[in-house]
Amino acid sequence: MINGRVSAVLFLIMIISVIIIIRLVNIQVIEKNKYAHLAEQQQTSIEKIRPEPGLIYDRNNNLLVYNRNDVTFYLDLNETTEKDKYKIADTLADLIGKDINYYLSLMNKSKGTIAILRKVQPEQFEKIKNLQFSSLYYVSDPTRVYHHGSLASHVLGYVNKQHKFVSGVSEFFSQDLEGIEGYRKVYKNSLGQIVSYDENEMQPAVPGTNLHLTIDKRFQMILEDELRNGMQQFQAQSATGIIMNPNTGEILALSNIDDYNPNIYWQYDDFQRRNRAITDTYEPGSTFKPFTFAALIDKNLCSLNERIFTENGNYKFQKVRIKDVKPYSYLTAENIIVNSSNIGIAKLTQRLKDDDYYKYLRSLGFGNLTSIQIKGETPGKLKKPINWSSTSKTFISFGYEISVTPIQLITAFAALINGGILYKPQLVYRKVSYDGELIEELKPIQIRRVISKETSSVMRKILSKVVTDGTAKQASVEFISVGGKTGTSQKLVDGSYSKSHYNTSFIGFFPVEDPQIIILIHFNSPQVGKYGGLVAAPVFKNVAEKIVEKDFNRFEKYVNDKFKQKILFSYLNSIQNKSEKKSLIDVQTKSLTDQIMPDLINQPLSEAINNLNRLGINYKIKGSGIVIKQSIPSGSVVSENDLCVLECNPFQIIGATKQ
Amino acid sequence: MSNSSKPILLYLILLLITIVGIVITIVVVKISYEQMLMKKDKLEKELIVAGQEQKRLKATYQDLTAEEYIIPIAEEKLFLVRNFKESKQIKISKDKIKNLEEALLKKYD
Repeated sequence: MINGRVSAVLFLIMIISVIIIIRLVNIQVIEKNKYAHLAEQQQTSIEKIRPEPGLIYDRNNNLLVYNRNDVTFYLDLNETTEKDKYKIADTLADLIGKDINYYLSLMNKSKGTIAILRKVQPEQFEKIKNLQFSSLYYVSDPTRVYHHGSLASHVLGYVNKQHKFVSGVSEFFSQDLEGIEGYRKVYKNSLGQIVSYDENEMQPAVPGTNLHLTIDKRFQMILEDELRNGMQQFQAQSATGIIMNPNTGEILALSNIDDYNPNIYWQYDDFQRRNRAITDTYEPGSTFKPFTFAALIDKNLCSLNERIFTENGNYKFQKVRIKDVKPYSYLTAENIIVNSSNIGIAKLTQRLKDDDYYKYLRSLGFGNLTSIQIKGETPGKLKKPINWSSTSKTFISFGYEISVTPIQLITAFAALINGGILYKPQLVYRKVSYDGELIEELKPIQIRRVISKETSSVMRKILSKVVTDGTAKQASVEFISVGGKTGTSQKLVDGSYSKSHYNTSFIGFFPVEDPQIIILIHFNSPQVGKYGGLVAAPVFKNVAEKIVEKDFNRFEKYVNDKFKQKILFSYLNSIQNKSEKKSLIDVQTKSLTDQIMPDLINQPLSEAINNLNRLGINYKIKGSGIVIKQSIPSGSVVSENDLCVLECNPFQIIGATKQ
Repeated sequence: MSNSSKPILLYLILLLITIVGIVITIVVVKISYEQMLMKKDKLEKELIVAGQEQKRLKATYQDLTAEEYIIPIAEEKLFLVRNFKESKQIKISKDKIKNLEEALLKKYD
């Protein structure tokens, strides 16, 4: 007999089972697509894969900028108990080294989610990541590392907090540097944590292109050091320097002081971050005279030796007074540049037609962008002849009523001395993919010919005389020929020319016979000294000397012989000084008898010179390395002022018959 | 229960066990696969970080091998003196030179 209650329970179970089965069939079969779609939406998402930005190298493959995958730790304060807060603060204080109260105060004065640790580097991350606190989580926060701090900061630019490239070549070449974003489909659990991803629905990120700059790190360091020293010495408001290869337009160094550290860019103001070499204009003053003079020479409107009356330094021209710093009664055309006579150049300029002069200046790039590979460049200001007053051409001839940027000035000056070709300034010469494949080689770009080769040759000689005989004697370098032009211009302050604020500059090049380097040095409002010849020229000299020392192999053929002997001598002195402290050189010396010529064969040249100097004998050297022949035989009696010719060779021959 | 229904029940239970076993195997393999994928992902990230560290070390190495770093230390702290040019040593025996001289003399006598 079946129990009624049992039947009722069984019936109930059957009904429930049927309902469940119907519901299951509804979910799994009838509305399968709808729920599958909802599950897909909830559990999967498309995750973007950020590509690694390209690296930046200097021209000698020195790494300047690279990346680091930092992380930032966040703490959800709503999910953190007081006990956990203390534990977290204590643990972080142990691992990071900061005081525990720092973290506690950070947690106590905030609500919601806070960034408890920013930009944690990989080594520290390893220590922290295993902390078992559900309210503590981390997010990738990649960092761009500028390895040398503020070195070449205006050339490189920086990355802001939104991971965007700002200023410098970084911004200009941002599309190359950024790379291509990837994506993948990921599966998440109910806590939103990624548990898996779909390999078939994945596009890997492509890292950015690496850039190789024309900048030489060594020259950049030299330039920045000297500009800083100059700023301190002459108490200037700011300074700008550019080093360029005049034969290609490649920029070897570019610096503005004050500058900034791209790693902590937010601690600096706009002025410090601004690349004033391309954004700020000024009236160039006398550095502009060579351009005017070159136009006159190129058009055969004057000859170098013709004499011009320079009014004893005070000239009234159409209701305006033009003055020279140093008064002369007469100067040759050449000496107008050498002695930087405003009156002389003003008079010569009247021979140029307005339109011709304007076209010529435009062809040099003034009033136009140089198209350097950095954004934010200013074209400067050059009025059209139709807007010139009766005195405009005159003032432009010696660098007033025209405003230029430092990059325009050096680019145009390079054209004056390199044979007459205007080049586009260049900062990047090669793009290489992340796996080392050459993508593009950016060659120098010739824009146009601006003057003839002959005119350029004449200008080099004249500019050399500016240094040897003229206003730039302090730019003279003992061991290599230098040419250039000084410039001192009053600044416009509150609408009128100031008597205490000047733009002071020198633009120079070396060697004169075959220019390899051109350097612009510009100081803004130096308080100690004002003339380009006294402020900017000595800084140029220091930079030039250090560049030649650094890259001696390249410049050796231009270094004069007298100096080569002199550095050999000072090198010998340094050996003698150091031998008292500690010498690691085993130098074989042969004993000397007074007034008897020693045997110098197979001695190192330095040692032989030492011996001859002790005897007071003059010498001439052919070659270098080891002495293989001496003109005064060993054992001969010698007197002071005798001349001994030493023939040398890089090879030391052992076993050969001696003289 | 009749004897004839016993084998059927057994087959059903065996089938059920087999199906459950297969399902469990599939799930375990899927979970293992997903774990390996995540491990691969983690290792790829570690590889990227290691690559970046290598770049940093390369930059540091370039600094340490730069002339402007080495020369001041060599000169001021180690008191080394820099040679301008290296000399090469060529060893020639006297006898050989004598023989060559004699041969030359004979030729141009």
